[in-house]
Amino acid sequence: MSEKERINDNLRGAIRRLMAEDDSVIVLGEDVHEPYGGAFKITKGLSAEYPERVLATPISEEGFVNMAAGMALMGLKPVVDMMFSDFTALAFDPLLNFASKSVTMYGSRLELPMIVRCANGGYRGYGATHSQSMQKYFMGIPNLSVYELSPFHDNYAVLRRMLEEKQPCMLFEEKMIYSHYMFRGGTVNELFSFTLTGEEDNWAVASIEETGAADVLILCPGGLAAMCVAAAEQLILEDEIEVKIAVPSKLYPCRIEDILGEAVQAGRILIVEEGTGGGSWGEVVAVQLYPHLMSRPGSQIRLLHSADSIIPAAVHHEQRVLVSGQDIMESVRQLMKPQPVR
Amino acid sequence: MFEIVVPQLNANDEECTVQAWHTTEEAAVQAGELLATLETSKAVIDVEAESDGYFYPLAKAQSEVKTGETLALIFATVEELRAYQEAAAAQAAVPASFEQYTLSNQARAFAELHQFTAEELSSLNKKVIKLSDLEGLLAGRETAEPEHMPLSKNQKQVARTVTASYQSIPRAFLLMKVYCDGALAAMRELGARLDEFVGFGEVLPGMLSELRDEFPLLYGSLRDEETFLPAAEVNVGVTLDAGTGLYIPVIRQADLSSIERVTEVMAEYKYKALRGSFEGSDLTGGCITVSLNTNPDVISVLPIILPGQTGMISVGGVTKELALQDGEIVERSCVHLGLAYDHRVINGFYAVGFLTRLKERLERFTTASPVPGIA
Repeated sequence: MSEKERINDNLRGAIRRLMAEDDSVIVLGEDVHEPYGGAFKITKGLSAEYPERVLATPISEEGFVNMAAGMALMGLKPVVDMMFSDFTALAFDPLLNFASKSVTMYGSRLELPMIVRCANGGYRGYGATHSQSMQKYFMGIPNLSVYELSPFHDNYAVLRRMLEEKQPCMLFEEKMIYSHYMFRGGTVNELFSFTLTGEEDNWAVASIEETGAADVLILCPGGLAAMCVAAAEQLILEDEIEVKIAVPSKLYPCRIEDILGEAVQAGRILIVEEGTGGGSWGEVVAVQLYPHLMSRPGSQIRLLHSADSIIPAAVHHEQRVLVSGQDIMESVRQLMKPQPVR
Repeated sequence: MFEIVVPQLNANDEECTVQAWHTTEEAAVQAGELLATLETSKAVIDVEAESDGYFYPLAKAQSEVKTGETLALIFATVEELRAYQEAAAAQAAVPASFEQYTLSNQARAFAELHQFTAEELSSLNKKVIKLSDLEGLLAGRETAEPEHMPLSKNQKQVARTVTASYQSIPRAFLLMKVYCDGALAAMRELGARLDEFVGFGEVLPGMLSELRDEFPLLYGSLRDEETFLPAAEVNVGVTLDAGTGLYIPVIRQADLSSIERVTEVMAEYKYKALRGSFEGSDLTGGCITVSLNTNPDVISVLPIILPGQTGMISVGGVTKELALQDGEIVERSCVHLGLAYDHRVINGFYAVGFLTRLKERLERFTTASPVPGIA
């Protein structure tokens, strides 16, 4: 466990282990075969080991997601590689109207275990249609769970959890962090450590001192977790502001009860998301948190999203649109400013 | 010297692993020779020498290196390489301070200003040290240094008393010589007879009680700026310090009428002073005090006046001097008798009168005067 492992290797290893343990687990999607092994190399090597169970599909998102849902109804456990999450738009109908509905549309609950893996987010200069954060379009759909790749959460446990839900699950995977290392053994870096907490260890809470009181609690999905940690590190050194960071594996449905203690203690909460505002995960979480913070004077929640803009391909323009470490630090500093008494 | 830099391998990777070195330190390499393989998240790439020379790696095999970092050096000559190795070894010899803590920027500046040591900083037992932590550390440092010695309970009481005296009593002082050969002889004789020490501390209390009627303002206290309250009875305090702390036990009026009784009480008080076993009543109720400082060569002391009293007598050590007596040079003993008095109550004329009478009594003191005072 102590050896360093990249997130992409951890994810690939998780899929391989699931395939080894369970013959019904199959992989399908575009370019998943050898030698390419998927656009982000997550399926690399799998088709050589399991040629019958790794299915390369044509460019036909609606078709192969429909197919995967059918396979799941028939007892298989498909893991779909969506390549870019932007392409989920093409598979929205099968996910919304077929896969998720089929679970409870036919009188008795049907088992429909499937995972749709989506390389998500920007910071790579891939342009407006290959850099989006698509999570919010899948929030609030009955029988559809939304997860996000995180450096804190071991992917074997995450994938197992998804299959055990026996309903369609989306896994959004921030492209930027594929080559990062997993945080292991409760250690993030020299300053920060973390613990997993809550139901199914859904939340990772990173802090300087676990028992210490934080000035600000940041909530963010896994994609920007490392960015938030780096900002928190700079904030303690430059501003002496103590920040804790809570990162969920599963975004929807999301139990905030598991981190309520931390939230009420800090009082000042920053929710960071890479996607644009407007019907987002962070807004839902903020609405759930507010009633619990009412009794604590000075409590405040800020939301930080990327700009209301398409994402430019030119990296220097993209930087101006997407959430940055500087934005996170600035938002925390704003939270620390004295609030007018209401 | 030529630097080999970790190349930008692809858009997604800012670091990679040195999978293996293909040559060794100090080896001669040629341009185009394979030096290392680097592994990124996506690919393995080869790094080749760009010039001939002698090879020096800056990273270990299996370690992480960042894009743009210097991976290795190639020196034109072996001498150049050796010089570099020596410099690197010298640098490595400087022990790196092992820090288990991190300082915030404000704390770092404060720590430099106040020169906190690594021990002090690690004693905080904190992962991140903030400015407020160091302020606490500084406060602790100020109270901890220098080494401190707490005052004894008795000395703290002395401190309160002398402070109150200095703050409230405007004091004047008068010093007179007393020729005391006769008195000293009489004291020795009396002491031998009583088998006790008899000195000024034993003799003066009785004499002081006799002067009460003539000089009432030295026996009592100032109630306020306008009123003097005479003491109900003449009780005389005597300073005693047996090395265990300063005490001022009080000889009661009833005991003052006989030198034998005073000697007895004083002997008891000296015993108590040695053991610090005075009772509260031994130490209260005095209306005038004798300060004994009779060690050799002490000329005099300038005593305080105890709050609630108006004067204190001081007795110095016995000194010898030459004098003319009937045209002859003779040796004589003298002692300096001082009087510190509350100038709000007593003036110099009164004080001189008082000390003169005391001096006369001391100079006349003989064993022949059976009981001083009653005469």
